[in-house]
Amino acid sequence: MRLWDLMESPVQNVRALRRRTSILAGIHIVLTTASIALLALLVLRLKLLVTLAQRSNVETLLIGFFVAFVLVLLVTTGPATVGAVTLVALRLLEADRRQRWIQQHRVETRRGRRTLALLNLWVTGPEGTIEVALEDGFGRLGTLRVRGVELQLEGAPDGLGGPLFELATATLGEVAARDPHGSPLDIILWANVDRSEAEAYQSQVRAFERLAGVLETDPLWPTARLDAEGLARLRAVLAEAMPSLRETVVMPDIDYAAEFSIPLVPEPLAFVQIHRSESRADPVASLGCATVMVLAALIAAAWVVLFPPWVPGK
Amino acid sequence: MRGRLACLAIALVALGCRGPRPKVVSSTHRAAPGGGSVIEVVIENTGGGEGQVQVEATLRAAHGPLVRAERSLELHAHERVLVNLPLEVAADGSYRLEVTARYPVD
Repeated sequence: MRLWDLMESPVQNVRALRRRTSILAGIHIVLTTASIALLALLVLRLKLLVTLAQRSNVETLLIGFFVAFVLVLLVTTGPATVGAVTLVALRLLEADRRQRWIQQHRVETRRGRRTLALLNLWVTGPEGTIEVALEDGFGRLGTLRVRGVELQLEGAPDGLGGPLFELATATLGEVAARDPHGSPLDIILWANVDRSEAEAYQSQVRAFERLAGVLETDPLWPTARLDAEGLARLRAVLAEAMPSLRETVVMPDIDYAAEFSIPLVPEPLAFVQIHRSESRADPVASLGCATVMVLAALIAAAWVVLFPPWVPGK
Repeated sequence: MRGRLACLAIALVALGCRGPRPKVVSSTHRAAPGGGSVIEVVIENTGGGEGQVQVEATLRAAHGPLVRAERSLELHAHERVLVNLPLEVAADGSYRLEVTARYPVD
């Protein structure tokens, strides 16, 4: 359950955002170190492992699978690992120099296209659309816009969308007034993970918006209303989060959806399975799981090399 | 509590599935009574596991080809076994002896 909470939203406030950045940097460094150690162990003791595999009923291909697994992890997380090492080094500097360096070398040079996430409620500010410039004395990170069910981030580097949207949603959920008996405010779709599903949802919401216009009635879609005080609170939280948000930019991660699958009847006859899926898994959870798997594989491989098990003779 | 029991179960399974840890205690190359020579190797299993190990003896000469003999044998927990490897070459001191014991057998 704790893992699931992490997957859904590890960023509920500025403190959690700061903690997430540090944990993520640690995960990247441990994951890469463990992956390289496992790869080295598999390559250097290949003869022993192949002999053990062929003397037992374990497929030799399993060794190849683990080699491919760690290579994929090393390649896909490579840029973020470089970022994690950079961030650890930058933390030796004073905060101002660190922020200035990140702004100059990781923000200004890597601005991406619009990032989009979709909320379950139609959010309106005092003047309709909410727009917050993410800016401080070190420069601009981007612009956050809340337009109906859309959370938009423009002119910002990759890797900022996930934690920023989570933090903004958590803050909006605290300060916005919801319809009576309405659901809590939450992100339900991430356009960078499932674009077609996001397009379909946006079209559906727009249709209800136009229908309300034709009927000349209040919005039909469930709403969350933000007053001037709530908007000021959102701006204050994002302003406080600026240093941590800037630091997350150093570790650009790939966003994934997540699915848990537990076969009630074991494989290969898994006729009955239970599934649970999440539209986006935070890197702390997805890469945290990968780190646990690589560490477990490393311990198992080291154990087998140090204490070879009994296998039948020739 | 359940976690500790699971760790204990895994440890017991791991202990029950151990292979041998062969170690060469001593090795000598001497002349055989009927001609040729014999390499005597004492192998010890320093672990509590068991399994088939391979003993490989190599005689290296300063000039000329090397001579090699090998044998597989079953080692039980903490056993010490004497292995004789007969060879056709003379034990005239012109060879340097190297003995290794390997597990698992290739």
